Amino acid sequence: MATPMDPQRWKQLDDLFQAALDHPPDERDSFLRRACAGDEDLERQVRSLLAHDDSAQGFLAGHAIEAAARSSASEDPGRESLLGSQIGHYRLVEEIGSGGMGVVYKAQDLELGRDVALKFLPDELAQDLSALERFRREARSASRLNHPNICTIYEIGKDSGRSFIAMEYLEGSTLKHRIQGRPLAIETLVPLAIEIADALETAHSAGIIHRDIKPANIFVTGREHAKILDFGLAKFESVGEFGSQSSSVVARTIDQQITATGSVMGTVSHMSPEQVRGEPLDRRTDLFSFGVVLYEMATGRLPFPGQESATVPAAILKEAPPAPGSLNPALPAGIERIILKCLEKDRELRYQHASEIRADFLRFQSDGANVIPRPAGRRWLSMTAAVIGIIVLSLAGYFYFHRTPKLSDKDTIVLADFLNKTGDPVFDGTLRQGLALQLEQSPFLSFIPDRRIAATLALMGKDKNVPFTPEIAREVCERTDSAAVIDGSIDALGTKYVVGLTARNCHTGDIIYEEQVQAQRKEDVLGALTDIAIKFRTHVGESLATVKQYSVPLAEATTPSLEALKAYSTGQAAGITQGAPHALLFLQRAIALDPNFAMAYATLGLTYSSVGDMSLARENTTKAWQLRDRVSQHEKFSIELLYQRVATGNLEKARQVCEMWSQAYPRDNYPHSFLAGGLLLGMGRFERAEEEGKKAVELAPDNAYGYHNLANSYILRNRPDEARPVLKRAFDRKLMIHEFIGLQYQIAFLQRDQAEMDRVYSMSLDRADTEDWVCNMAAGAAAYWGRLQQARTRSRQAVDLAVSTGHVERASQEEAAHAVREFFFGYPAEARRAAAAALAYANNRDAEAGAGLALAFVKDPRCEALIEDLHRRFPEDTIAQFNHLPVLRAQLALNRRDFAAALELLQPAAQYELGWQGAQSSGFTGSLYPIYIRGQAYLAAGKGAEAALEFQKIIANIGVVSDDPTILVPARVQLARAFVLAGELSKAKAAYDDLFVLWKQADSEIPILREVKTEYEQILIRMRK
Amino acid sequence: MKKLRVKIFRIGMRGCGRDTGEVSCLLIAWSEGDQAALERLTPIVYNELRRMAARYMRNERPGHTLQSTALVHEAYARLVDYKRMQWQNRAHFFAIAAQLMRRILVEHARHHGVKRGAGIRHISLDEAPMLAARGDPDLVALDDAMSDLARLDPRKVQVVEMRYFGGLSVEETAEVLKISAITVKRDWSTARTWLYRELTDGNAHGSPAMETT
Repeated sequence: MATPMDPQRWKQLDDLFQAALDHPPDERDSFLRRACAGDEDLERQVRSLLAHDDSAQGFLAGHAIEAAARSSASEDPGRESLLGSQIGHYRLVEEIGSGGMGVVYKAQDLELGRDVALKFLPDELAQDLSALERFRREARSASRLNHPNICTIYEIGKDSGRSFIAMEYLEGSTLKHRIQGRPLAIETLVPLAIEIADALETAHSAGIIHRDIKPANIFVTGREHAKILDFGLAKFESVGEFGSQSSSVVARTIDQQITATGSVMGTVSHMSPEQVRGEPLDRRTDLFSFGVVLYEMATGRLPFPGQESATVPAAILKEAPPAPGSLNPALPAGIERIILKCLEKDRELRYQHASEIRADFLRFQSDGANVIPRPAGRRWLSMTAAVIGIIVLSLAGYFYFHRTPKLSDKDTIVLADFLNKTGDPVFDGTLRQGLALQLEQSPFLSFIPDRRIAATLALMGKDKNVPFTPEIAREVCERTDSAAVIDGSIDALGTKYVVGLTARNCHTGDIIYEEQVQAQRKEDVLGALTDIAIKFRTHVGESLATVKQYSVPLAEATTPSLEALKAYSTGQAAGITQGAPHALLFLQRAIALDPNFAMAYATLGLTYSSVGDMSLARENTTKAWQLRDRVSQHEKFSIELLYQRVATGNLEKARQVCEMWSQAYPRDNYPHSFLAGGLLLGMGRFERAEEEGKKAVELAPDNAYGYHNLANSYILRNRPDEARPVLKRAFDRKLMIHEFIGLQYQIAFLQRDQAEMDRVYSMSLDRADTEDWVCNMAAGAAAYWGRLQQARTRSRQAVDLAVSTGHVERASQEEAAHAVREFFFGYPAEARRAAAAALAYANNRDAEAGAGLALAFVKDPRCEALIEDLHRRFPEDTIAQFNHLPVLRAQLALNRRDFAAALELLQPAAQYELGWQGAQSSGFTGSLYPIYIRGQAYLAAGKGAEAALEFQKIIANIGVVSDDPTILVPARVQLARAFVLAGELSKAKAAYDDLFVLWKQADSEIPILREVKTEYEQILIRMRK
Repeated sequence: MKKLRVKIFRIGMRGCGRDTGEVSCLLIAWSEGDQAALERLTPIVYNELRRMAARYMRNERPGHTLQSTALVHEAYARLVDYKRMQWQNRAHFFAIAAQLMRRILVEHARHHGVKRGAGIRHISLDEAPMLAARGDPDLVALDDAMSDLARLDPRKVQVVEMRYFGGLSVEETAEVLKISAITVKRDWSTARTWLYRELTDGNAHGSPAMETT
């Protein structure tokens, strides 16, 4: 019996929904059952909202005006008039759906007097003859399918230039709506499954595979019959067995074509592993997708869930889904086995025919008991003959055709590989890199960076290591909406060399610029390249003034050695395609070949810093900086920045370099990206970091670090809801850097989503580049919830992993975090031991600060020497001077019970103390510690109210320490004590209560917990008086 | 009564001084309770916002998030002598501007776009992933759903108005509505999910959640 919705009931719904969201996903079910106490209508309403919550995350993410602008840009003025009009012998009654794949109307068939559904090709494809032909051909083929459980195609028609498909009009709802996050009853599930399997078998025997089986494509009629939809967009498989006959012509479905052009993201959650890998498909792909559907019907959940579509494919390829029976205990084991067999990753191990699935369900139905899937009947022949042609849609006419041969400062350029006709491998890759370095100096030109080229190649389904020929470059040029593609060649002419360069408009093929230059000797080739580059820049419209100002010849600026340049460019490419560590060897070789190669040192320094080896990072960036007089202006900016950022640690100076850099090169994303990262975040200027992050993303939508920094600016402000869509955008562009995993963990932590935290944690386990620091985060999170044993295990694991992968600096920082944590929980001896252990691994800045703090806490005199050392080694370092040293010195003052001195020593920290100090590696960071020590000073001085304010500040800024929230534990304890001191007993009680709620699953034998419980008893006694 | 209102309005005007713009004066007067000032203020703000919105939609390439969020701020800066204003006036301005933005954009959508049918009934075009990917709702349908929600919970609709139509941040919305940022986030989360469900499922749930059958 449903109750009408009124404001009061709505409020109930709202409260329950929010309360449910506060529970981890796996507890929501039992929570709701308890909270709704039998009010089924209410429970259903809340569940329905919960089921939509995930997909609603990206909804209303932008702003209305952008949506309005987009819709008016894409709208079709003719569409409006269709309603009520007559198309052929159909009258359009009502629009029943629309989207990227077209518009569907309910219509009346005037001849036969029945209702039909009319589907029109989307307008953007209607002009494309090949798409049109395919639309019709596929619909024709699907219309051959006559099966009660497949939506019937009546007619493929054309009227006044519009092609349409007329099909059966159905009433009811899609399976997606039926499931709504809840398992179907077995009595409902089995008959539907039998019908779907039957329909699939019929289609497959006709040589048609669907390729997009999902609950939204399966309709359940009012009489509980299944109807598979959108077969009209399916494709042919060669009739007969897989691959034995001549390859068939296969078209991609229309929605996937749209995906290929980048405007709409397809659904990945139901794809088969072979589909994810982009391999040739046969009917067994449908059987896997059907398995996913069955899993949803049986459990209400997806087997491979994930908020971020980019994580789903990995799960599909690698992870075993949770057993359906564990999610729905009422599910018979027989059905579970059928589902799991459908979901076999190796298609040879799956069911081979839909009829086998149907038979197993029928057998289940008749004896209601154990159905054991039979082993695959035969091994299939190799798939190689079934080569499937992929037709790439060319959107001719879409692009703006540049008529003028010049470029503007809005245009971007794509550089193709040079054609090396000399037979000397030293020129392979080198000339392209050399030209890039030369053109990079120009503030006027901008070319597509290699990272983005790699991402575009991935979208094109090409390997990122494919030779970057002019033809492929031209396609990349078109896809990135660039203006021109440049390719070049080098040929030997006796002892001389001829270097040629051609720039073409990639949309028209028109030549914009062509030039050949001779070099007398091999050593002169780089000089020749410089000449060509300068001529090109002048020719395409750059002002003479900037050409003159920014054109240091390659040999003088970068390196005179072709071999060194080659090693450098190979290293850069390896770094981009295989990850930073792969660049190391090449960069070292480049330096061995040219010991004055400044950019090689700088890049090497950056590489070391990204894996947390800070002393090597400092050494190399310093070396680059010493060589800075021999570089171009553009290189000088990046060297100066890296030097300040990595070697001196002077954040203010680094910030100034970024500002100058972005003024000189307004189109370069790097200064913005660096600003948005550790620089502004370290200073606590999160709003500004957000702005810069947005700018970086806008300028370079394929630089993963832009998204990283932008998302981080939200996370640090405890706005995980806003960080998530940013990561999603990166994933949608197929960007993945190991740092994203850490952010995902922090988001999950801030949303108190334990299941997601576990998922991210297990995702990190197989990656040497993430596992130790995600382990360390997990240790921090466990400590935050009082699970000390778990925190210790994770922390140990983190340190061991870091050591075993050769990252001793990370190990020392992680050990230092452990030392501080142990002290807070009441184990001073372990804190002292761990501090010494941390210092034995390495002595980087943060490890020394963390170990020093642990030693200061336990009043160990070794702390003094560490302070000296930090001060001496990091005289200009913002974090050392304004965060670590004030904290350590103030704690020593507290040890002397000199509260006034402690407060004064903390003064310099005030300006950056809300900043995030965690940009370098993982483990102890020192974020928020000045505030904590100040609170301690007030507390010791007997100023309860002032102390309480400081501790509250820490609790309010949980985002800043979401990478290691340990500090919140002592902050909460001390807050309660500060209230006691201030005589505010009820506030104190509330603070203790908060702590107990937080620690409801804490280990019981923790000293600090025992202490706190005793204090709490005393409060209660005092309050009763 | 009428006389009194006029009087207050005049006092407001006089209080502004010569070099304070008209809009500033009206805003101050309205903040002080003068409803007539609001009546005069609305068309000015409306026209300015509409002009700016039109310019934005003409010039900006879709996908450029460039200045869109700042539209309301920009209107404020253009129309109001903000140096002389208190934040209360700013909050008043934002409140009205966000409402007007909703009106402008929905009118625009109504005028240019297609009036959708009652949602997705049987042919699956699987709108959901597209909505998620593009984040672009049908503004007319959204407006309808918001009107429905307003009957149950007007404040949540205001939050959506401020944030989505007005482009205000959580903090600004909290300031305008005089509620905490946490409440804004909470309202936003429920309203967003509810609206999303209404726009994607429509008929699967009967008419928008007013009565369930």
